[in-house]
Amino acid sequence: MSDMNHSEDVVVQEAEAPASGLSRRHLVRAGLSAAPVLAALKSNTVLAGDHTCIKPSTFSSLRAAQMKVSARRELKTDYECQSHGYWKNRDGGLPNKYKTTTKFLSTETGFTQNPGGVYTNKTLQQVLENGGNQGNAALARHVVAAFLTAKAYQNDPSRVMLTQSQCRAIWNGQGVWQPFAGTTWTLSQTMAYFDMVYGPAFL
Amino acid sequence: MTLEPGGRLAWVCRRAQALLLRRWPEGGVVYDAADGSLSAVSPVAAELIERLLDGQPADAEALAQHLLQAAPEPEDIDGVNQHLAQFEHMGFIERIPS
Repeated sequence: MSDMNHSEDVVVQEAEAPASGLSRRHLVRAGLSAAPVLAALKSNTVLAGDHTCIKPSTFSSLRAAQMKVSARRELKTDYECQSHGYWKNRDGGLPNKYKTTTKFLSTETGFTQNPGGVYTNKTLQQVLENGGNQGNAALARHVVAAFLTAKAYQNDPSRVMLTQSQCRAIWNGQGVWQPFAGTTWTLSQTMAYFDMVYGPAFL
Repeated sequence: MTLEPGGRLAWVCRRAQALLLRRWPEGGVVYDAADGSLSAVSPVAAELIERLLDGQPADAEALAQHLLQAAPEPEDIDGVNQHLAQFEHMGFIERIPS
């Protein structure tokens, strides 16, 4: 933004004209003796940033308000929401070998959808390592990350961004689910939410 | 950062990417993208801010010299220091050891 900064006039230099009878020193001193800030206007809203860990309901409100947050409104943004990149290389808080032994499609996870058959016999770790977007892999990576976070934090809804049952609803609906009563998100809305929280899923 | 009591201070703007200055003959306005605030400033303040937005540290004496284009006197430096304190309060600049 700084390259947009410019001066349309150099006021003090302009005022140096001898015809005014005032020296530059006098003018600068007069300026320095005055208040530097003549008026200030505080914006009512600020843009919500990326990688903000918020609940789906909050995301929905922000979208409706063009991602602007009232300056006086306190958003809870400290939910646990470790990304798939985080979980790919860590297992803190999880049972021993949980990621590498738990199958993505299993009663433990509750995930049942298997688009294109690409998830057959895949472990959670393998899904995290999946590249591309075959079989909705980008959604799968986000869902596994949210699921593992919920697992690591005892599925405590006051601490995690998404509970395990919400993760199941997202995956088993292939991104079409109800984040809260009366609202159904499409896959693109769900991905927009994940992308804001985690960043893009690196297709 | 620890500043030595009585030590010489310099000032630096580390937020040039977030601040937008426009100047006119009557003064200028500074937009701060971090909080969406807009501040109308005096012509002298605008010139000081423009100098600081280059990101190079400067002390009050050098800034006063920049304004005056001549050697400053103590009262000029005092005036600049008061402006800098206001800019610091607004979050535009920060002080560092000179």
